[in-house]
Amino acid sequence: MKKENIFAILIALVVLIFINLPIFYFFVFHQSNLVFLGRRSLNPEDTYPLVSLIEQAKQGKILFANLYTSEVQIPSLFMPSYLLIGSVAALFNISSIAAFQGARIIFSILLFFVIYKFLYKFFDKPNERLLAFIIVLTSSGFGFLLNKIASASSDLWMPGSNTFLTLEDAPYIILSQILMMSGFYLFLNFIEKKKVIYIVGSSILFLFLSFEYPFSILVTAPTILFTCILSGLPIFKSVLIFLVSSFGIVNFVIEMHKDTFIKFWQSANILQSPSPTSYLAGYGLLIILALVGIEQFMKKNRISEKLIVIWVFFCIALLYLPFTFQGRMINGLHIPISILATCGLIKIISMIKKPWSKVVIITSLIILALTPVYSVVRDFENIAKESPQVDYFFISKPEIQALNWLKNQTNSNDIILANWTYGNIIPGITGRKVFLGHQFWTVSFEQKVQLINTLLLNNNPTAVSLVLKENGITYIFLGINDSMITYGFKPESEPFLQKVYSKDGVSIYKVIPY
Amino acid sequence: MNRNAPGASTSCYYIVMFSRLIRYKERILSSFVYLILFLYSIFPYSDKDWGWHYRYGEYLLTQGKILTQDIFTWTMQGMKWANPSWLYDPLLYLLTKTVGYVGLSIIGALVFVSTFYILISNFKLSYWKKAILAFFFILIAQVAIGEGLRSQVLSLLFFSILMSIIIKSLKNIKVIFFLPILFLLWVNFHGDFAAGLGIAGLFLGSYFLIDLWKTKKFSREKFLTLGATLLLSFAVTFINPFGYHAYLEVLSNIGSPYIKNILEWLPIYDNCPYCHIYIFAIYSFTTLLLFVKRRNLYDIPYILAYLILLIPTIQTRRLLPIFLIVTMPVLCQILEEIVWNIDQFKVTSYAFFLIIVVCIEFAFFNRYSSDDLYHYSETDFANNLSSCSLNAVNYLLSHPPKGKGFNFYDWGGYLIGKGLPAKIYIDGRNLAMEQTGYMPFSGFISMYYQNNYDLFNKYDFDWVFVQTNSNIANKLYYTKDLGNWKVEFSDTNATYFVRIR
Repeated sequence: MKKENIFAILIALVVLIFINLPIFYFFVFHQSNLVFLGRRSLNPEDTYPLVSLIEQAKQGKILFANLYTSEVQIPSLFMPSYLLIGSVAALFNISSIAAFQGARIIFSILLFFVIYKFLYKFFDKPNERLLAFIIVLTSSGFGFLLNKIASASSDLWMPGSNTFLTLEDAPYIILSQILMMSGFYLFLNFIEKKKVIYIVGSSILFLFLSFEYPFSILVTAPTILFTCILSGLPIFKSVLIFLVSSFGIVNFVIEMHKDTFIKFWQSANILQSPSPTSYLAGYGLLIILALVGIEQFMKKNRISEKLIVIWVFFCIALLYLPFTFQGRMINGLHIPISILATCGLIKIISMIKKPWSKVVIITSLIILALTPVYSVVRDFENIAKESPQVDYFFISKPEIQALNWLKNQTNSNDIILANWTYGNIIPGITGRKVFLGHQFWTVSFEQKVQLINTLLLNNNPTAVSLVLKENGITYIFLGINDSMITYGFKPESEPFLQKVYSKDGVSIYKVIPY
Repeated sequence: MNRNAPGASTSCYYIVMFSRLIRYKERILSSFVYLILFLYSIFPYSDKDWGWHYRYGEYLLTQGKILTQDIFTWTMQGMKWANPSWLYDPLLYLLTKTVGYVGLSIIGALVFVSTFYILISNFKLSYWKKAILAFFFILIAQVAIGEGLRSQVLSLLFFSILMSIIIKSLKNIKVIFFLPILFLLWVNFHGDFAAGLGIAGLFLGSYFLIDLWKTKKFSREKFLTLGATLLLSFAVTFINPFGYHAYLEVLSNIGSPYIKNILEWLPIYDNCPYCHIYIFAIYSFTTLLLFVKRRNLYDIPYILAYLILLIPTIQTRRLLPIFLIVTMPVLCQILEEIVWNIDQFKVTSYAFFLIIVVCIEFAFFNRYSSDDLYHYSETDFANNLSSCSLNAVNYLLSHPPKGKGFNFYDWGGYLIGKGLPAKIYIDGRNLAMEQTGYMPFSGFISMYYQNNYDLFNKYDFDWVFVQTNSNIANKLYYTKDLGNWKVEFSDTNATYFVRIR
């Protein structure tokens, strides 16, 4: 095996282990009477909604429903990645959360491979490729520095905004970046080698991308078109390539007009872009290096370099599109920026005398990697607290048992009412619908919280029973020291509730006709 | 017939247009800097003092005389008060009537951009230099413009004019004759005029001494010109309806022991996302480095102003824009001296085009929609005033309270502005209002934030209008410790209690 490849594998291995340290540690070594829920401090509320898709696939569904909202809906969401993960999980009989984390690791390895392959298009020397590989995998902005005074720094929280965060996040985001880069890779091959097979492959990958992460199609499509035009291809041919490689955009437009899609994805994917200063902080030193890199790339006449410059342009220009999902356009931006930054860094060190050039490289790599280190440390700190907040990381064994009971004794038509904390994990563990459980996935979340708050203290059983019936609620789940009980809810005195499960402080009530 | 002629003329046309564009590139990009600064300076109008300014303005225009006594609160009823913004109030009244809240936001932004323009117009700066300055300006001075047009925003314009006069006076001493006119206006618009006088004295005095030190020659004529102008500027500050009370008002506000209970007087590091502390740190550190590097004698007044203002600015966020305006000219000078053709790089056009696109999109498709600026309603305005409830205020208007009332400080101004037919306990004017040792503001702090319920009981209020989640509201709602109360109106933001006697 080539020395370069051994180094690349070592780098990938170190990054993979480092990223997953908190998950490994708390799954395997953490001494506690509690069960680790397998999520981390980066967007913990979003983990179980995705796990719920795997759980549905495990239960044999091909089209997924939004289990976080009680409204009548026809399952219509098709996500190949979660269908595959769920099917594999069913085959090997592993839990959905374990499948989620396992898929994340497998996709990460795949992403490493694709990134490294992609880097061949820009860097001819092995040392430069390895440097670029390190920067793509470990670089970030000033989040570590600004955390106390500017928590909005995008590298601390925005999914997909840098590779390290992507690797920490959900499998479908990792997959979307794999698809984006592979699609661009094949497109570049097509331009270079003029073989139709490449553009067909690219088109298929972008079509898959439109199912996994449709927003990225809005970046890939114009990037392909303008790369063709600026490379001197005739307009007609450019448009043709654009149409072929961006077929996924049709899927995106069709899905946008589906009623169910709008209800589900538009509510689940609300992500307003933060202010430009948050992005500036979130990319930090990378931006300065990338500006030098753009200058170098613009001087060259290679199509791959043009593609990178155009990719960055559209990614940034679309960050504030007039849609509620504008923040999603950031997905994958970190990769071209890192490539440009590497080129910038190489240019800078070429102007510095030898002993100092190494100092500059090492210092830059350390500064760039500080936020990912901070991110892992933050995970250890937050998870170890075992605090029972909304985004908690542990659950007691009796509660897990009760949830398993719920999974076995209910069917997919049942709707479970629980407080927000449990509501957020129930669909992922049981594959059942909840009345509320996520700020965005639950349609009219605030109103539903208000409704439940008033309902719990309502002394009129007829009225309460009617509201439960109108919303299709069939079960009420109450965990240990449940906040609904401390709020004043007295289920045992309600004539329309029948206790069907009670063990070690956890109880489940069935709503009966009243 | 030449078949190529039409095509050739079209090509020529485009070439001419393109070369014109290149020629005007500097102007076009500079215009974009101002446009983006303007777009960034538009914030939802949310001045908590709007209401009393509005009513003071209305009084002046309808009654034909200045309101000098308090007619809005029962705690300070009849007390004489030197309103430092008496000339701004009728302006605000007319603007509110004609352009509404969104108009006030836009006019505030225009004044803010004018402040920037006047400040930097003394220097020959290319578009990218203006962009750097505008970046610092909007982020550091956001604390001033963040609520739309306020008297403070106008005051910043005066600061900018002052600095402009000072800079111009180095080339033409006669320019300082405009100072008395400036201060005559300023004293009648805002209380910051006193700080302006100090800055004028510091800069002009320093320049005089520097010239003396450099030339070793005492210029009697210059001394008299400067001295007389400064004296005249000081003298005209007494030409206002309240005479020397304008100064006393400034002093009583600054000296108030309760000043740190007002948001804009808090330190920049105390939970202040709009202070952009890291940008301020970069700015102040860079400026300091440049001072050290330049070692220019004429920087001395800037260095002195920097040193005098730095710590107070860190301790008091409302000084951020003043610090910026006073020190920015030195950064302008340094940028002016930099000879660097940024256009030689291909990345420049790319980066600038991208920045322009992003900034415009951010304004129209992100910030304005988040701030509800496209449909900015009375409800939004009320909600931006520390979450006041328009429904609750409307209830009060249709069911006027009777007797002595207690209200949340931040909402007092709005109640006055909406024309509540009852006297309130407190509003934004009352920070330092004192009458024979009695200060409603100290009572408010004590009762509202320090849970002094004995004092509350002593007042024997008839009605209370406060935040629903406040301690006092919970106390009134859940206990009988403060007497028998009935909830007349309540929503998630505000609750109106009436005592049952």
